[in-house]
Amino acid sequence: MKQLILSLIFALITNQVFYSQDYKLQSLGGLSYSVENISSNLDIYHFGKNPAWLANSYENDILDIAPYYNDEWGNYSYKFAPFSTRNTGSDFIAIYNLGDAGTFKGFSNYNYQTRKENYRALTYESYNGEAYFFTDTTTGTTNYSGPSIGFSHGIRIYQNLFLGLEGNYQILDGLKNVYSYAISLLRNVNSKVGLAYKIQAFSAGIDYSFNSFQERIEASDVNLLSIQTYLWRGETNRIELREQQQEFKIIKNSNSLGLQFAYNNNLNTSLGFAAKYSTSNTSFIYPITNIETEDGYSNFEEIDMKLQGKYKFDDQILLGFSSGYFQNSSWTQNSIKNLLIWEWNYSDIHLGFGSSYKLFNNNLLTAFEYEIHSIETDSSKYIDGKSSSLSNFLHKLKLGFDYNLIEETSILFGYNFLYGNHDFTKGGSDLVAHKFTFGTIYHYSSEIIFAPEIEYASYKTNDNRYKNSLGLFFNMRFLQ
Amino acid sequence: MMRKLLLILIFGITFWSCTENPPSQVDGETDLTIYAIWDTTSSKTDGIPLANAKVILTSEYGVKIYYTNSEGMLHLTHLPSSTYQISARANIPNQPNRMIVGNLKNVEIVSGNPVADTIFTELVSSTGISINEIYAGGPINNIFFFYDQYIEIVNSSDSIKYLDGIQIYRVSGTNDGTADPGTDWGEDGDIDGVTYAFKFPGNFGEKNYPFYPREFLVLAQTAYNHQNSVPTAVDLSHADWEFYNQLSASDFDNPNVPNLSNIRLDRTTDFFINLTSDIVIMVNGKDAFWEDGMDIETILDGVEYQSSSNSTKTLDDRIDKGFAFSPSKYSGKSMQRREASVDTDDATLDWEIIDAASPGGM
Repeated sequence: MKQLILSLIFALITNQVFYSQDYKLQSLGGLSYSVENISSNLDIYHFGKNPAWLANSYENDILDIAPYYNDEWGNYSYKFAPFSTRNTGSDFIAIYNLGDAGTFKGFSNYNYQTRKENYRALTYESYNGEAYFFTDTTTGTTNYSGPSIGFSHGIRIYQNLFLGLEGNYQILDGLKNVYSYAISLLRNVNSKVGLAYKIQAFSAGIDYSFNSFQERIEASDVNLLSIQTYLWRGETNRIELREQQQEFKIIKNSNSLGLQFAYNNNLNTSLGFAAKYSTSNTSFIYPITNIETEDGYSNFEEIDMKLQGKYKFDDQILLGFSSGYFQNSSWTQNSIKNLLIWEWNYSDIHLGFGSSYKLFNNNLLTAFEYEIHSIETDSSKYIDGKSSSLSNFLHKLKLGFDYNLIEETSILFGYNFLYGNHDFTKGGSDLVAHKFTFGTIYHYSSEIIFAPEIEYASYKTNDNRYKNSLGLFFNMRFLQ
Repeated sequence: MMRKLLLILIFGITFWSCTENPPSQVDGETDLTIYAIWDTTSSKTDGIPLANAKVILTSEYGVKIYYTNSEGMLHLTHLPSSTYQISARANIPNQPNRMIVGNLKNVEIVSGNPVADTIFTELVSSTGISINEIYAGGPINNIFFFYDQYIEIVNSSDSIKYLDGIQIYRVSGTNDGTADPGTDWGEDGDIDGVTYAFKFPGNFGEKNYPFYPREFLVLAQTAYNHQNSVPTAVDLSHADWEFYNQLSASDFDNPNVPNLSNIRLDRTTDFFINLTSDIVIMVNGKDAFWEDGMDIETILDGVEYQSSSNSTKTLDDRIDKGFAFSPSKYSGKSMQRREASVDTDDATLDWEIIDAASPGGM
């Protein structure tokens, strides 16, 4: 649920992958603060996402090559959405420790996405909380493909002061292979600048990021038929558009300011605090009489705060906790008539704790994390004559097992359980989800690691809607 | 250094505190009350509530249909703000064959401002003959086939009419781009812009071709079973009449179907009409000289159809005050009057898109 909302800040594939967790944590079902791992360190970079601290985060050079295949299918989805989505691609991540010149991280990805039985949707993002939708009249297959590249560089600039820069660029081409034969061109640019300062065991950081996203959709039928599409204002009111060729543009911009604090005594205790304040807006532009006109406009305001801690009791036991507060307030207006059509607020407070314990001469690691989220939503869809106010508890349980089979090889197993009362975005209640992960880590040599992994997840609601997913990953890490 | 960090933080927070505010007025807070009444007396203020009348609301959001309650009232909330055309129509109680209709034009419904209005319905007066259906867009196909076009006319009166001399026009001319089709170019009381002109046999006033009450006649562009060409097309081999250009060397002529003949002698093609936007006019033939335009008083019916609600209507308001919304081309859909007997000279409210062609009232 929270990931859904986080998507509002345009966490497209680039950003999601760029800070993606380590393959070991992924195979352990997504555990984080309950286990020791470089990717779950409560430092300014891994926890606070501030590139300035990258200079302190890695000692070795690393090259990760990670091809993947992921398929999800089911009818537990938004109104205008595909029945199934398949992603195939590969991540390439390289980290270089440049000594006094800091640490550089480069990233590239090429993703090929196939959306089958895409119900009427013409836009890349099915739903982001905005009241505007652009659809045609058909259900068909849509393909998106394209590269994304990025870099991150952290460097010490003065004594204990660090500077970091980050940039990501993604471009995607899309085509719906059935009338209206809509062609999409997406461009997503993200940049971030950060500062970090260290005082003994304490460190603090501040960063600013800017994101610019644009999607242009052109529909013109290969058979020269007139294109019939619908511009939805809200859920129930739509305008039929019929032209020989149609264009629609979505422009999103966001600004974020982040603050991070971390404490790490290098012995047994670490604490991390990260706060982010973001504003973003979306313009929906449709050419009326050949003049590009903003028909709709959405505004988002977010606060995201997290506090996590780890305490290493001894060599066998690690204790951790997590807490956080997330708030999103948004509204959408009809720009032509200057009327408010949707307004909603969302807040999520969570508390969690976890622990890991090593057994059998430290050959078996067992870990768990439990989180409870208290979610409040307040939605007013004025133009649709609907309003709702919901309270929801979301329970998340994560289990992970890591067994060192032989010296070079370990096998990992993870399980997630999720239960929520309501899902106000997709509808339905009593959402139950199970996720299983299984992976192995094989040290081919001291410099080469292979880590294949398989994931399976299923979601189901009490009205028998479901979504399943299957993921296959093959991570190759080269160390120097 | 910490002081600098604090300054940056304070500056950032100050910068972000200028957040945007949403509009103060919300869309959908509308309150529309419509009273539909009908009147058997000369005093409209004493009209009788029209229960269970169909109320048609047309706006940029399309067509929405509701019904009045037993008090003749319709109360709607949460309509999106827009300009609405509203029509109420029903059969006169206990007289199922007689339709009463009333319209409200350009009703501005704005959020926060309740609107209450009354529709006075009246018995529809008809000249008797009107255009009932226009099938222009062609069947579902990908070879650009549209030769199964047809126009359906109806005699909605209770008396026999005669087709002798009646003319059918396609009106899309623009006088070399200087004027709109279907307007009175010379402001001399006639409608200009004729592209094609075809005529029933005979002359105005003659009575050789009767048109019986409640009868529908299909005027085919080509009276042929077009399913031989495209399986989804319309079989017009049994059409009542056929447009036939006697000046064309290639126009197909079904010998079993009588013809409307071309009277614009500089045109050698069949009676094609645009697939999604055009004007069709039917005149009684009293004004046989079309070159200077059609005298308005001779026009039996005229319909403009357009593909978009944003399109500009050009047909003179004295002929029709709106335009029909056409379906997509090559969709197999057609345009038809909501009720065959109702012609309020406002095609926006009188016409609707139907899912399939229905020649002869099928």
